[in-house]
Amino acid sequence: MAKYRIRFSKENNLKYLSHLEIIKTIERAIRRGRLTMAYSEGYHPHPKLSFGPALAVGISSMDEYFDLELVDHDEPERLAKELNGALPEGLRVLAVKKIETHHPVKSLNAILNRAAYTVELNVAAGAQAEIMSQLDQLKEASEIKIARNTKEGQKVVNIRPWLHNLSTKKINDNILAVYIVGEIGSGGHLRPEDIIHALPQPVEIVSIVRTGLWHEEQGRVLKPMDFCDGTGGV
Amino acid sequence: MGNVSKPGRYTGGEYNIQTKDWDQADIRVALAFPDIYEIGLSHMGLRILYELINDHPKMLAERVYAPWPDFQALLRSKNALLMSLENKRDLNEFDVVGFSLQYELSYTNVLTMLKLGGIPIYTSERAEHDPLVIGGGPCVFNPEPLADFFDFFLIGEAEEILPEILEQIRKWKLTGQTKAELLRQLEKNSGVYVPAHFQVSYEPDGRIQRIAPLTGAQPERAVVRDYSGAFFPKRWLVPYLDIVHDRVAYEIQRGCTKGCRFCQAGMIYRPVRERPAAAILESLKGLLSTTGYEELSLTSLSSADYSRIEELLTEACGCFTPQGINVSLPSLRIDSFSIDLAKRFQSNRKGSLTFAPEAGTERLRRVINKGVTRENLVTASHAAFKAGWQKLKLYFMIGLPTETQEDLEGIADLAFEVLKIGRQYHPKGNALRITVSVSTFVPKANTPFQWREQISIAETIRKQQFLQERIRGRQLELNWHDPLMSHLEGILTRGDRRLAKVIETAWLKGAQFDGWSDQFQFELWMDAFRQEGIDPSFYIRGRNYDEVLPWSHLNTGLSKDFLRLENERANQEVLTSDCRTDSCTSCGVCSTLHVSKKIEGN
Ligand code: SF4
Repeated sequence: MAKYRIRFSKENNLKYLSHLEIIKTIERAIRRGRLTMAYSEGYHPHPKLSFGPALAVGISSMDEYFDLELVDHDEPERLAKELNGALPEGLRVLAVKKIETHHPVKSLNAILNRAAYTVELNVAAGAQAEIMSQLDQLKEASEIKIARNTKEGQKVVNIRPWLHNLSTKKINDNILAVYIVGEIGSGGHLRPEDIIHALPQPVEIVSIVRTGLWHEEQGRVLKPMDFCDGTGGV
Repeated sequence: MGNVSKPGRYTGGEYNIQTKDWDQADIRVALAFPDIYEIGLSHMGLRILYELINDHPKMLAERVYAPWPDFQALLRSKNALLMSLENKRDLNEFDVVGFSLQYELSYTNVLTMLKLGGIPIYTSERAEHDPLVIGGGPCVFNPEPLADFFDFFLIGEAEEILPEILEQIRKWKLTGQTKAELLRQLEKNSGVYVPAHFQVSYEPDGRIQRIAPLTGAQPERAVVRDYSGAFFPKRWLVPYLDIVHDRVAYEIQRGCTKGCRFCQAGMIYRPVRERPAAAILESLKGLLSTTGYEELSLTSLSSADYSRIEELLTEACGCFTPQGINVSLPSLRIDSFSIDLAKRFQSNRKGSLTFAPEAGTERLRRVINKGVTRENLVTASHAAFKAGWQKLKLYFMIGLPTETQEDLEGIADLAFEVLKIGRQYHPKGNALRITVSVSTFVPKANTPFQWREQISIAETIRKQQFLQERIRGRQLELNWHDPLMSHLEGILTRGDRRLAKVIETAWLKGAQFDGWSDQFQFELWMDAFRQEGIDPSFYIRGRNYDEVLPWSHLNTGLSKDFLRLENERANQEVLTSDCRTDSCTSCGVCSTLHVSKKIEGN
């Protein structure tokens, strides 16, 4: 048995896939790549495959992760090549690292608590300065209240504590980029579009890209791959 | 795009998609399915044709499915036309637009797709440069209600004949002849039916007087004579969305010889032909490794009847289960052999097993030639519950010929009997559930019951209510088909050419996705019938043997004498045997179509 942590990207039309569809697609690619997955024991064996935090439909990403356990050992480079040969266009394995099994490794969902996004907005040149200053004000505000649909119905939540950073940049006369770093995981979940919807007027979102996922604790920043040797630095 | 439901329906890009160079192709075919992506892609026939055509270096096939209303609105707002998934070409840029016609209640979707694709809906309104609009699938065994919308129909199995037909179309393109000349040429091929080459006249009372051939053509069903070598896809498309049948589905045989008298599929896909087991396994290995699918299903109209099914399943499971692949059979017989198969190959017993007794009493089951006894069902239920299943589905029809109150009672009795058995094995079984599914019998063209009457909406509701009162209680569930939908299906399935106007009118009033209960609007249809001065009940009435049926000029190989005899034997409650295991019952197909049944043997 050998365990791997795999970093991948999700782009183009495949950004419309849901989390479950991504899982299914990658599972099938693993089979096409003739890699023998390890299965759980029991009545309904499942492949030992676990994914990081779900990405909302419509958002592309440059930094996604999953953990995979194979029956056979494989060199990480070769594994990446085999997977890429079997993945559809739009999904790409960027890096593979072997997880040292003699140390317990926390699951991706347990460690990841920060995500960075780039949101591109369609804003005419004349209005860009104003939107930029409104976004700056949001960052300075002590509260950002938005309505969210939850299992118990609509609820007003304050998302300000989850917003860790925000900056803006003019890309061209039509496009304004917003860089957002927010909390994810059990401590709270910031959705990048919530920030945009908190603006006083509607602004058209052209695209959203997740650009990074990591673990942050008391100022220390760790990437998922940093945990693979089992020490994890924590 | 982000605002339509399930954008993945329209993006294409599935694994194993074939996007060929548009300009390099001499013949471009749009394979159109008049329902949503999830249903259309699940259909095996179109998968076969997709790869068959694309395998040809000079031909290209692309797919297009019916867009859901939200996407239709998006297309209109952008002034865009309906496009194919591969090269994103407008429907009206293709040489041929071929519709797969599986279900009568998708007819209005055909019109929607033509309209959105920039193609006039009536053949008479199309120009020379418009695509040839053709139709295939089970509905074309009586395509008459659609006759005015289609240039020609391909009746029967297309895979042997289609490449030849496309080749003729390719040559025709080079000659600059008219479409009319092309159609006269094409109809010499078996399977091709050009509706415009027949003129229908009517009696004052509305019955058909005569169907006159204008060109002397004699349309006949196309049949694959060498089924063991018949084409099957190697590059199976793997979608990202959850589709209805999200698995590798391998057709292990074609045709069914059980001879149920209501079943159109059992009549129109004769004779039974089995694929060699070794070839099946070989293809499956390839398909699984190029798709990565985790599930595979051995399909046909009655897979448990495949002569070497046990051996095939054992080998398939031996090869594929260690790789985490589930092997399943979609259809079960009501006998212990079937349960035994299910038990051995279906590790997951959380789902339900379905039995189809079809009718409530032994008498009525003899009428429909479903030779299943109460004893069979009881034994099978014992075996299923004992093996661990807790959910059983029983499938019945109401409105079958000669049905009495006793037959309806019989449905309820069987349900309670099965429930009682279930409680013996699962006394505390909170998951124990018997689902009784009841559909309304719709007489279909080219079956022994094609002359029979369909029950009215009122009678359907009466029978459903009776069952609803009888079949209730803990662990019991009753489902039924919308009586209004079955009524419309019954009208369209035995309809004639005069219904084209009704379909168009209903569609103009907004009818589409009629098979979807949340979209179906029966009043639109009734308005359309009124507006066109057509009495819908005319089409569900019983008919005499000497009446000219709207499909009587189409030769399916089934002899009229056979169908008639089977209909008479129904009245006499006599069973007819299976020509797979017994001798030929002279349905006529083998001799008329020059084909013979092919059984692998043990
Ligand atoms: S002609 Fe005879 S053998 Fe052939 S399908 Fe009909 S009944 Fe069966």
